[in-house]
Amino acid sequence: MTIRVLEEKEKERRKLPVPLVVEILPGQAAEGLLEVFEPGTYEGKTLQELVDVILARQDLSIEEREILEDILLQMERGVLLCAGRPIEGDPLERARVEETDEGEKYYYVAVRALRPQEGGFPAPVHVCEKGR
Amino acid sequence: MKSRVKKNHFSRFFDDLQDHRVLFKGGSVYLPCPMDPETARELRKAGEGGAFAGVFQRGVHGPKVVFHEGVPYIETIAWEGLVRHAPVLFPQLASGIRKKVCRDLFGKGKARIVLGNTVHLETALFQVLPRFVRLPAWVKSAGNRPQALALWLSKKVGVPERFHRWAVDIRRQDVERGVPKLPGPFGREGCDDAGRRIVGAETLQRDLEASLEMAWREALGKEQENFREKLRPYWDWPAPALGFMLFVLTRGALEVDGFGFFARASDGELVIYKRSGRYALRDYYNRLYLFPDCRVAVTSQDLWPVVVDSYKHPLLPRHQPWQRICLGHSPAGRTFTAAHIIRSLEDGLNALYHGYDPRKRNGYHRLDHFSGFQGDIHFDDLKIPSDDPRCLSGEVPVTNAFS
Repeated sequence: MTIRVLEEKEKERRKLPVPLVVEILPGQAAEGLLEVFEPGTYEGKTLQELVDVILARQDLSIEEREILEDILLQMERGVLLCAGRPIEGDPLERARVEETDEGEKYYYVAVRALRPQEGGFPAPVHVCEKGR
Repeated sequence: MKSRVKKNHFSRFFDDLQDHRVLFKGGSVYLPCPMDPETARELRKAGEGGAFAGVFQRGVHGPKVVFHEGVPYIETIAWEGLVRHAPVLFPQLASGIRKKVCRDLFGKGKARIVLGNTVHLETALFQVLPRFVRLPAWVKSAGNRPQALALWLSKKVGVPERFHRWAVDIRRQDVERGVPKLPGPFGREGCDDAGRRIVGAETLQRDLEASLEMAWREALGKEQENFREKLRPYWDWPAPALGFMLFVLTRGALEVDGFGFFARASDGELVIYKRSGRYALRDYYNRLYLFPDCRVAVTSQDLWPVVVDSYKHPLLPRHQPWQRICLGHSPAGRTFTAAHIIRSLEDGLNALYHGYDPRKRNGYHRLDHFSGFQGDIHFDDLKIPSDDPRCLSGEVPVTNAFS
């Protein structure tokens, strides 16, 4: 029999029956498109599937629609990253526990839609290729 | 024991004049000429047209000598010049009067606007800042969003109460428009070319002080008018919001949640920046390098993103401040608008976070160089263990692990 010791944070993360908030942020923006998944609706789903649900929403306000357009613009040649990694697997692996002002706990996952830049040509001389 | 009070230039100058009477004529100060009676007689002979006459020699204007009640007075200095150069001649007096006028006009605040271009300021504050700073719901839903934002920022950055009071004072003065008129010194009003007066040293001293005060009031009054002009668009805002605008204009810098701007001291250009925070990059061998926080910025002159602080990175040519970040494209043609500023800042941040590909080893420098074989820039000092708890916990993201 093997005994596995769980860290307090990990235990808390696995046990809490709390909502999961997924936010997709365009670029380096501070605010993005939010969706709250109640307990029971997100278990067993990957982060990619949850993101697809958010991007497929039709009941958006004008402000949210602007954010969505920005996200789609960023995604044209970009990627969706969560903590610097592609959005794969269980969303709770990347989630952190946060609290509302009223003290209610929830999981929070931030996904960024980014156009990654590749070091190229600093003006005026094209010398950035030197390191290759 | 007799106490000796140390006197400044101003006091000494007027003490020396104490025993003499000074003639003031035509905007110039004439001092009594200590001559022997014979010289006085010769001067009188040379004089033409009565008691007050100029002495000319070979067509060249020499110092004017005038006779008043039989005493020759020689022209010394123009009153206007004395007032103009008073800050150099009598620095203590000038500084004292300037302080007094500043206190009257500006209270305890700075008497200078650092951020001159309010259009640039408004772009940074009301259009770019909301992109990088999470705002409370009441600000986002407010009818007058800039006002609500100023109000929130005033609380957030803790603008001192005195700025609120000062802003309200300026607004009230603008409404009243009643600038107290000072009694004019005789240098301006009391004497024209025809008028002449014999005055004592005390009167001269008092009038010089009054003239100086008036000169400072005129100069600083223009600055105060500048304050009014800049603040006029926000007149109907509540005192904390108006105070916040005054605070930013006079301080010339602001930082909120990693986003900020400041007026560059060298050229006055507005520098808008976003802090990168700490992040880690992976090299070809999967080793991690922890990069410190730095400010990625654009200026109102140039929208190519730069690092404000002294920084090294594979996409930066050197280890120094104000370097342009190597991008995959040129941001030429961008103008100082909110959309372009945001785009440039994000390009710069994305380049630092995600621009270095460990497989391609693109950029000016390679992370995995050995110190013996490389030039000045190496990254060995930034190396951290692959199982660093900060990276494992997600506190510090590894930003180039996706490629």
